Amino acid sequence: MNTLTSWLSNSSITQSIALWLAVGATLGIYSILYKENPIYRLVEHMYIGAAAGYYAYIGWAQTLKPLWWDRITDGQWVWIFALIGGSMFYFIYSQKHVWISRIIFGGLLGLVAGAAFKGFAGLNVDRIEASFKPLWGVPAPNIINNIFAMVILLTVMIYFFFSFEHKTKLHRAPANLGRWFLMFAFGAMFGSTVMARMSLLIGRVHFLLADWLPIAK
Amino acid sequence: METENRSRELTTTDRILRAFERLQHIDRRVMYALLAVVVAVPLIWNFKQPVVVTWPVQGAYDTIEKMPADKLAIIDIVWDSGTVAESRPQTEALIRHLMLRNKKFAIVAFMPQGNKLAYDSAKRIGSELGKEYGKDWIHWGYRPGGAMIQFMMGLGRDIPGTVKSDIEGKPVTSYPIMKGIKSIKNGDVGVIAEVTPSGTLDYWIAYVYGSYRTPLIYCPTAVMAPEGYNPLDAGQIKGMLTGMKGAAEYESLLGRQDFATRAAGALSTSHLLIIVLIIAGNIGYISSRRRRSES
Amino acid sequence: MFTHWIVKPGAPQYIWALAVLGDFLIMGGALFFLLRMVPSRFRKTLVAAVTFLAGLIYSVEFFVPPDPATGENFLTSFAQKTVTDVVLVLSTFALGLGIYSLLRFHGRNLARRRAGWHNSLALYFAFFAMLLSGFWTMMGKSPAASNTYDMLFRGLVAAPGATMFSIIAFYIVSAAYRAFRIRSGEATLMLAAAFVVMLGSVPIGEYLTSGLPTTGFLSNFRMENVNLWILKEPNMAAWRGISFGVEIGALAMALRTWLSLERGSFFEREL
Repeated sequence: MNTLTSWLSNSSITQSIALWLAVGATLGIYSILYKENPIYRLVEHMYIGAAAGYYAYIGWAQTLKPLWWDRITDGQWVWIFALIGGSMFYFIYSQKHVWISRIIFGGLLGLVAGAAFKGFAGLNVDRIEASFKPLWGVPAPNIINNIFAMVILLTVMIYFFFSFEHKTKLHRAPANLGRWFLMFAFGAMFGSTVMARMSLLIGRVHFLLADWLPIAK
Repeated sequence: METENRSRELTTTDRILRAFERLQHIDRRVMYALLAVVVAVPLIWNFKQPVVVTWPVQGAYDTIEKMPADKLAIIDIVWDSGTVAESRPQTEALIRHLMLRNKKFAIVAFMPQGNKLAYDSAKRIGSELGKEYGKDWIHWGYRPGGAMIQFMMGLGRDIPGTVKSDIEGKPVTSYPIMKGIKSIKNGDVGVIAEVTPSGTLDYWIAYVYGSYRTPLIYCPTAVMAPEGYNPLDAGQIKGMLTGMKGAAEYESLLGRQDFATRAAGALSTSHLLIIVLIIAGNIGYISSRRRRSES
Repeated sequence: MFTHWIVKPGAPQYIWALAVLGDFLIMGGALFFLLRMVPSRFRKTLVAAVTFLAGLIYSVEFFVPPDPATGENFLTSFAQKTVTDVVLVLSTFALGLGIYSLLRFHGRNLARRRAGWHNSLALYFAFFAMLLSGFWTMMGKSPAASNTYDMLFRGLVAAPGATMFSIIAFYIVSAAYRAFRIRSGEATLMLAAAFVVMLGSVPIGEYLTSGLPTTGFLSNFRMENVNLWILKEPNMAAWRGISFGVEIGALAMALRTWLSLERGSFFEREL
């Protein structure tokens, strides 16, 4: 036991172990690209278990202990009701008493729903104001951009207006135009998504090439 | 004779079209191998590419530059290991900037893994730049994402009372950095930077910016960046760092070439590969359509 | 409540744990028996009443004008302090739901030796290794504890997590190659926008048009500026249109949830 503790106290040993664990996990997960295999499944399960264990520890150490447990041990007994309230969540697993969990879920949902009014106002007032762009008093290229932006905004909103059918040409034409303009947004989103995913891959390849086999900087 | 020549011409065209059609059927493992190569080679050969700073990144940089020294910046961590390659360079660029300009900041995390990853980054950069925990920077620890809205509203009114303890479990009021920091409403927070792969910026805008007009900086992964131009246009955020590229631009403003800058070459080659493959697939598609219409 | 009379601050932690457990069993048990006595036909009403009262806190706090001197009304302190603290603690208790489900599912796999049970054993091993190493760090600042915690976090959590998401890069290449076909005008426009954004976002795209001046009319055709124009003008306007629709829908949904008007399998289940 003492030997184990002394090994673990040596950070160069633990860092080496961490590196090899990380490399094994990385290559094990990449093995799925060739085909489904038991190594991938094993690494996947270990990751899920470790992440859940980490989650549980952090939830206690950084939220429950300072915000709840320390208050109780300080004499604020009223916080015992938080444990009672928190335990009501777990009635979701009982077929007979599942409705008790609905009380606490309903409370939390109600809180979030009640905050929606403030959220809506805080989020959208500025955006609605910014949608009315100046059509004079600014340089000509800005006027063209502003007209373009407002036309796109209106046509896209018409496209998503489902309160009545798009029957008349007056409704269908701008809605179709809105659909075309949406392609800009979706194309931009795809282009950005590619960059995001490539970045994640570059991060892992860099780890393998720079941290494991030091052939990259 | 004429008929023979015509049939020979058709055969040649047909052969060419068939050859192009095969471009539609490249094996996926070949594509995976190509991708691995185009990503690895620039990293090994350290392709250096100049990075052009765009105005959203410049806006974020200027916002931190202009932040008064007596205010506190908040860096909100909503990322975890899944997006570490994009979010960590962004976080580190912001931390480095704040430390280089001797501006105080607090980190708060709504994701458990990002909580530790950001803490490790800040410790490393802090020791490199001689910054002391509790005096120059602080980490408020992890808070559950389900209580994000309530936490933000609490910060608006009373920061020490809402945060209570830091990542070490000690009361935040015991640290010199928190002296005089009362609330967002009191004007004690100069900038809030949100580093996130999801749409949580809207909560800061709705519940903090909407009430107190605290300057916000948005650091999304590239996937969420197109949606960020909406609040940017409305003036709700002062700047934006788009994924790894945004971090590279920020590093160039700081005069550094960290991971994001070094990875820019690999980013370029991987994008080119995708473009080439999509074009190849479409050439094959058009060829097969043309061959079918001709036959 | 009863602990308050029996156990004082400064008592050993295990005494507090026993006292809290005792309080929980007494008061929680009393509440449970009270709730069991609620007739079935009143249960939905009780849930709806709790939902409505909870929502009333923030909505009244928003609509009641604040005192000009303090900027707060009679509910602000309660809503932004007490409720915040309670929700933070309750949300953390809710984290246990996912963890319990995971352990229960894999526990059954292990107990019944289903196919792949060794993976479930590995899951349990990793779970307790990470959890116990974390608690070990709380017991004292020993280098062995913090090194073990760091080692397990980096090796079993951070690295596999990053790798899982990076696999998507490979899938996006093959998916884009197979699916992105210019079958229509809209698809062509989408592809063109995607190409411009992809090229404009990376240094090689900027290099392609680096010969153009950085100021003046021609600078608008530099790849990074074309990319920014697409993002700032048509893309921004389209996303704003989408976001207005989403926000109005979200507000309507919030109102329906608050007033318990929502329908669906969860809300219409018999209690």
